[in-house]
Amino acid sequence: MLLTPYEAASGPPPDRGARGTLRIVVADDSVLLREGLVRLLAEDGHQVVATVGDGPALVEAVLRYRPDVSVVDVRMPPTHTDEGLRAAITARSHVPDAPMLVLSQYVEASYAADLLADGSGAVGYLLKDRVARVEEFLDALHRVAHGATVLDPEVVAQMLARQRQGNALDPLTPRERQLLALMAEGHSNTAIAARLVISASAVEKHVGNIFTKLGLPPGDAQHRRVLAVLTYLRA
Amino acid sequence: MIESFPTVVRGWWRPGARFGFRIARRTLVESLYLLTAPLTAVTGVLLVLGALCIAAAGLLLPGGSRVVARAQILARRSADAERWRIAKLRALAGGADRSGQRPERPAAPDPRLWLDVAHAVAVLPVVLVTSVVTALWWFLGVATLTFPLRYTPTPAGPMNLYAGFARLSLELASPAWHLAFAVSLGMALLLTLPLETRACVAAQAGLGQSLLFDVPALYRRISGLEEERNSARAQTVAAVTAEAAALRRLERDIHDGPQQRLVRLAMELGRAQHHFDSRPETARQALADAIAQTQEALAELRALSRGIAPPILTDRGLREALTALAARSSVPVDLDADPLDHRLDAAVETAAYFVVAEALTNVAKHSHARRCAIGLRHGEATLRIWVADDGVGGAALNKGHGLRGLDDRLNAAGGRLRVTSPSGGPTTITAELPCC
Repeated sequence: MLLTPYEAASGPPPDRGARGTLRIVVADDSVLLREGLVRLLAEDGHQVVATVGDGPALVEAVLRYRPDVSVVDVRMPPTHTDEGLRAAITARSHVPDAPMLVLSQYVEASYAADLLADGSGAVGYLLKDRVARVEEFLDALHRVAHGATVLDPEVVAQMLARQRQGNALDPLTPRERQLLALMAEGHSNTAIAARLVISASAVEKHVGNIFTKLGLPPGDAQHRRVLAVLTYLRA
Repeated sequence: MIESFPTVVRGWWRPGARFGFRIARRTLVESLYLLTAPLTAVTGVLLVLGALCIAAAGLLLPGGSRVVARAQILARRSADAERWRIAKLRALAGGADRSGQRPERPAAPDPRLWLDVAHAVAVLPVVLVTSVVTALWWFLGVATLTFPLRYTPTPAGPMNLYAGFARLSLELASPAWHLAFAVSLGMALLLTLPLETRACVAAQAGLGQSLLFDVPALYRRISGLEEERNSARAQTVAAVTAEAAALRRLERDIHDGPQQRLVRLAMELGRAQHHFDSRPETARQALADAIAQTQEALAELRALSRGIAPPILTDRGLREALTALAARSSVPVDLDADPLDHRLDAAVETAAYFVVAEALTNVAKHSHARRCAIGLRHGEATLRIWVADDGVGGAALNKGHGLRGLDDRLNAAGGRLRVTSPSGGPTTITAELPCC
């Protein structure tokens, strides 16, 4: 259901059972949530290599441990605003493509756009509540760790509401927009095909059309998907 | 009853004499004022010029600001002297005009230096005219009236008056006519002297009155009104700031409190679901944790709602609410509150309540106090509340501890906050609020 590099080869999605243990950094200033997360992750067999409570500590931990993925709370001391988000972006400037799954009590499309701005994927932006759906959360974590982009349906909904006014997405047909929304949420071609009840080749054709209409240069399909989502966010 | 003739005359004469005496006295004082004016006016202009030179030199010198300040004081000396003279004139010449209307402050300090300087310059030509006219009036009046004393009868021709090259012959040939003319002219001049001095004083002191008293008074009134407006504005700003701060804090409290609890609750429920079949023991533990989080979340919500609008304050009023606050405090509290005979204004009640609530939080957090006391007094038009503790002291408005926010809240309600907290203690925080 997520964007993964494996899909570029349009082969079957990776077997969930095949995912291995992840080395994870958890950044959250609330001890309450940190404890809960660590326990949740540990019970799924992952290794939490560091827990930190503020932005600079996150950057340092990412530099030191090079984790497979970091789970980051947006709001942390000292400013209690978007500290975590900025720290995640800083960390990625030091360690390119370091996977980041950002969690927040509320989601803002502009935050998502900031996070995706470098266009290299391996980022997720989810409402904290999604953690309660443990399966989906762990799944999202794995996909981000493997380079996918996962956005909260809430962000996508904000986008849909916003794009009523004319913008870059105008050339897209309603069907293509629907498809792009699903791509942004991280659904794979196969999942999209199943959801829209169309064939996988039809999905591929639509995706190709979207790339062309948004003027994305040919190249790595994964990269193009990230760019398409980014265009979508900025629309 | 028939009054005897002398009594009647005396009764008629007395007020007349009193009137004459008053006029004479006033004329003398006014003449003195007018005739000494050239001295003070010239001195005043010289002082202003001198001050100007000194100030110019001061501006050129390094660190000459003190010199400039001195020069300013010097420049205002003449205005101070004139203010004193006008006040004195009013006092001595009797309450014929405006002097009685207001108590003048002769040397009322006024920030408007330029008015004083303008007066010193503007008054000089006026003074030259009034003093010369007055002096001539006096001289001619006295000289002609005393003419008979100096008169030596000589066979004279017709009496002539000279004005420049023009010659006016009065055709008064006999010495008796000469004398009669001189005496009547002198009488006329001296009798009209009061009118002359009155007019000159009106011109000269009027100028001083407007430049040295009226305009500054107007400025003072304007600046008074401006101050009032500014303080009203500051009150509005304080209200807005206090409200914005309260809202931000509320958002933080919700985020850090119940929201976190509920996320954790959802997390635990998720865990329970996740492990339900495979690891029932873990699932059970997660459920127990979930229940604990629910209870915590409820407790935090209760505390929060109390922080927004304490139900007991709304329902029972300030005194009961303070009793409840005192009972909840972790540091033992002595409550000394007068019973209130009526409910106070809601804004006052809320402000007072939060002062005590915040102060008690500070006592518990920072003071290490063993006891503290809450006091409440309702005076004529003010409500005074104080919280005192025997702790370590060192609290200050600019130190955080939420005191700044309290100050804003109080300012918004028209009140003020006083903090007495020497290092080492004890601390007393007093709030005064206007209320009826």
